[in-house]
Amino acid sequence: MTDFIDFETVCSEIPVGVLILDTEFRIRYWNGWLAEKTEVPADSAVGQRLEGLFPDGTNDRFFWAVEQALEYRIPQILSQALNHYLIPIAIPRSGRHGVPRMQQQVKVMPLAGRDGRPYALVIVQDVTENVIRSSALTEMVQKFRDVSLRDPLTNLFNRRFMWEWLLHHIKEAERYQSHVACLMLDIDGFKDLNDRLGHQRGDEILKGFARVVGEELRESDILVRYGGEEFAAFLPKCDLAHAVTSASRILERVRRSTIAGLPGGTVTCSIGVAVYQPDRPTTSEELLREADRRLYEAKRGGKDRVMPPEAIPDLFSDEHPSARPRRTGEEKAKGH
Amino acid sequence: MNLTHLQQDALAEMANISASRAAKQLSVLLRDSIDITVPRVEIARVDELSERVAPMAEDPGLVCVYQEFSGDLRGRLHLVFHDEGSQSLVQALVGEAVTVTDDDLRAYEHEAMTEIGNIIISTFAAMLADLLGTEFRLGVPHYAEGRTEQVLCGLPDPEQGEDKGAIVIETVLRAAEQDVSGALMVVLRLHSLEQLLQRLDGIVADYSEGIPMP
Amino acid sequence: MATILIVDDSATSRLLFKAHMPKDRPFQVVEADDLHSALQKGTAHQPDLVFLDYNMPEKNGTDIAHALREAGLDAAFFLLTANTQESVLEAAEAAGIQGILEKPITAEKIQDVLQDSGV
Repeated sequence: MTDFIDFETVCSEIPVGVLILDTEFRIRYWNGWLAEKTEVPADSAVGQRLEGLFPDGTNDRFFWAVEQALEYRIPQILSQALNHYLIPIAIPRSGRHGVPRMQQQVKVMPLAGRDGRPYALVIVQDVTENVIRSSALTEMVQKFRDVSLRDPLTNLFNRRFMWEWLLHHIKEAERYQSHVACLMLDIDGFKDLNDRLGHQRGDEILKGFARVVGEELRESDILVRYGGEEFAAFLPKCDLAHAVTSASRILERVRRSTIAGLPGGTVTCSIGVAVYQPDRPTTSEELLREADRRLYEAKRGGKDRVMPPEAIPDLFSDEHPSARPRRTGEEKAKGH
Repeated sequence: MNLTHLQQDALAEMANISASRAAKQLSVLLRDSIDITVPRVEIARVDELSERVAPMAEDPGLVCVYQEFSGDLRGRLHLVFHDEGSQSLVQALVGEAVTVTDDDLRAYEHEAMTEIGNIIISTFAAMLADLLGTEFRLGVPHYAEGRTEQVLCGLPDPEQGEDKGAIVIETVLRAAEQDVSGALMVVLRLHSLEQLLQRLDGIVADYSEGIPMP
Repeated sequence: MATILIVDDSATSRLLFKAHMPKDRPFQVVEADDLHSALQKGTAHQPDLVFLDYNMPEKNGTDIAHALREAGLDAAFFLLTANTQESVLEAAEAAGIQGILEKPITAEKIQDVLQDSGV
């Protein structure tokens, strides 16, 4: 009945992790999903023990469960709720909070080998989405549960979310006398790239850019899709020096990365930096405006660079000569 | 239907040993000291179960994790806890988890309780296998909750129509300074139950004669 | 002849314990099933070794060990348990318990303890 298909192919295609352990806890089978997610190919995994591949620490709970399956043939479950994950797999952090690793539910099933020996069939399911959905990151997320808070293309937060988040964090910064950094990022020459390579490729560039930038941010930071090819990153408890360092690191990373299949250096960005300082309190709008001004300076200065805030006291004043209105004719033409 | 004093004692001792092992495993999992004691073991007819488990007029509801037997033993192993107890237990144990809605909390509890139940059931079944030499298979753990009657009698029943009996092992799980009382129930076809008790008698008799177990 | 006191509320457990005692030399094995009978039998027989089940209703093994010491018993105490968690090990140490035997008991485990205690 099943001779029309090969079951090893089926196991390789299944969108869950499948591995088989023998009585010595050595891996005898490692499926396609695992190879892809962990970047450990099957021929490197087979023959090894899990703790040899991922020396993150011994997992007694898992060992016991495998023992129970091997010795007594009793199925075991390792909940995500109590174990979080079995195999450490990093996930991109752009737009996500506090969930740096894939969350997994694991089942261990007894399996009889052709040789009559017992084996343990281990099934690893990615349940990260459920966890993120249910993690109370901030009260606002709950409040806005019925309203879309994310940009559908990149899955980053959108402006609506951003304002609430900023309001909350600037209040915190005021109370605890800490800083909040704002980085305005704009992909250089995006309109040209979009026209030349097509909108589909353009979308891939946006997604790729968001991912790369997200990987450079900390768990407490957020990345927002601000406009067409414009992004805003917010870093709480981050002072001027660190903000500039982070921006430079992001710039470097974007320069080096392959984005949407384009070789490193094809996609670059300009970054404007502004920082909320506790000794000079301002509003969210002013913070953004300043970052945007610095972004403009970066573009004007030749692109592919970071423009930190100027060290001038009345920086945030509209009277300042370097201040520019938020939207000019030339910026509109950039194609948002 | 009654257990002899000797059978009661032997079952309680077996249950105590497996409960201790389960407690050890749970303490590793929950990173907290856990204690499980077995105050009483008795036998009951399946239709008496609801009465035994929830004799109160007000039914606070039950949480149940169960695994099916197949092979030499036919029936099901259930671990039941009173609803409130299990909720507050899970919340106390995993309090650092940040969850939002009631739905999320329930889902989280279900998953956690399924694993906790799986561990307790698993150690007991392993003890049955070791001590009594019974050959059986256990299915995957399932979770059910609701009113006592519904949970105990409303589960899908492949052994429907067969006369069944149950060994009821009262358990008290202590964690995070909370005591959660529940019961491990071994529901078996009468024939299987008789076989099990016979084997138990055999072992006790062997020991009374001073013959060590192979 | 050495005297052994076994304190366990389960008749089956005491039975298993006795069944696993070595057969090649004589021992006097005295049984108790709770604090009261443990104190009574303990003071009456002055055992060389005392084996206590950890998990007992009302007073657990370590509490009973304390009580027996206070009653003047000069024996080596051992705990019988299947639950070898930190909390149990600590309580055992605090009660002056010399060793822990993991349940289920085997003849070897008992033999080792007896040999180490020189009986």
